[in-house]
Amino acid sequence: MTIHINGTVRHREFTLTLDETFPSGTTWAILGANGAGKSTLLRAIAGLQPLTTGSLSIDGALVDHADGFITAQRRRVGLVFQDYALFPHLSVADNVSFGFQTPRGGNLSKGRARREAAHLLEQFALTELAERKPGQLSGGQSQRVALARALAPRPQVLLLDEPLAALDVVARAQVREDLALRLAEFTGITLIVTHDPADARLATHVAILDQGLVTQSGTVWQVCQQPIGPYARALADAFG
Amino acid sequence: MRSRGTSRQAAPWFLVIPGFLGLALLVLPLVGLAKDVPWSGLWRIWTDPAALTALRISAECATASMVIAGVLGVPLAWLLARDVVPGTGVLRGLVLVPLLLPPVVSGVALLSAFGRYGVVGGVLFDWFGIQVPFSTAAVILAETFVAMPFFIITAEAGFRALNRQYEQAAATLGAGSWMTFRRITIPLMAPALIAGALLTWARALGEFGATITFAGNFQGVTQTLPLDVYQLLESDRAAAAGLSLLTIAVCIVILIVLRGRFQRTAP
Repeated sequence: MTIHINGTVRHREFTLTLDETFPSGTTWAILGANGAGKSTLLRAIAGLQPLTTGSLSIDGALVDHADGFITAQRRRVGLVFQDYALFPHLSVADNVSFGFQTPRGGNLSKGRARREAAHLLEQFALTELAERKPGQLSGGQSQRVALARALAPRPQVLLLDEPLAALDVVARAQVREDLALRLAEFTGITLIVTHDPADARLATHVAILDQGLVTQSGTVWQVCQQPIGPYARALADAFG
Repeated sequence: MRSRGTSRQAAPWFLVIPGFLGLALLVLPLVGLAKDVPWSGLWRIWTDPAALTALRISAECATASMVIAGVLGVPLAWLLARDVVPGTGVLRGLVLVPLLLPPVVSGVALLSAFGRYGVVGGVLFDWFGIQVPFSTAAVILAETFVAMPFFIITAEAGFRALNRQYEQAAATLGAGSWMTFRRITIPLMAPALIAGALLTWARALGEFGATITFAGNFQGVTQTLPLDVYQLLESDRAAAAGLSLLTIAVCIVILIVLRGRFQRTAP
């Protein structure tokens, strides 16, 4: 199972140009400054933003090309939003069970979905928070709920948009450890968008985006060996 | 010397005087009404059979209008807010027209459309033998025509204020548009929808001009509370004042309920 994207996404004045393959079982840190096109890349893969030209295939299936577009609803792609976007009117348990009640998540009845959600919450050490509303959670807790929710419909691809940016510095290191453990259990492809080179710890591979172009990509080790540009150098410093 | 220690802004006279004049203009009629109300005979006026019937018709028709405005207004507000059809600006203008029309003109327009020889009314009569004007249905139609824009404006503002990420999150979890709409969009919109529904109900309850023109003033069929007040004015001014007080009481209750709603911050 791989993701292959070859094309452009135009958003107002900005154009993102891509020719990348994300192979099976890899975890990627997509590094770059604000406005480099990182989130646009995630939205294109998730199906929230159509490509302007070119094509995108996931697991051999063309999901976005000149004469066809598979919507987000029907892609097996999970997305953890930057500010988590937990449904504010639903409890933690209902946020997670939502994904089990969709056609992709198995169309489960409310009761069965809640049982599945309870199981998932237990794995994520969230059982005690099950009846809380998102407004009553800390940043780290919200992030864990958002990750559990995204995994509920069993995605093949997991996308995380700046998963640690909303956290304060003290919480960040701890949540990163926690996230690393969770992600290790996920067998699909993971893409983590971040502007913090330290987050590359979560990844096996890294792609560096600058003004809509991938300037460098490969394993973390490869990029650190011959860094090109400030972000790659910062990465090399962080791992040096 | 001025006293210190108050955070209140000093109020210049050129704002205070006209400001209070404006307030007086709004409040004085109510004071006058309170003076005319026969307080001791109030219960008799409120429980008069004709008044009770009018109150029942008012409440039923306003509620029916509110339901129609909700069922048709939510989709229309969505279309306007999401800009999915060409010419949304023009459509929004059309929706606002009933707000600006003199209610009598609304009544005349409704007669032209739904009357015996109207565009729609003619078909209804020729094919089904249905006559809309001067029926309870006409009251509901007139009230809906006048009051629905309030609902649409409020609901559209609610749709615009809604953070689209929640709907996008639902889509990435595999939810279809109906599931997302029912389980995410509508619950998040609840404060705006309730506020819009209450405004619509209040406006429908007070409707007079379009109703009397299009539905007439028939006791037990189309006579709503405002129409009853109007009729009483010719025979029994004190009773008219007493009955008016009832509508004011309803307005105050709605204001109190809405105040709580508007103070809740939308998500």
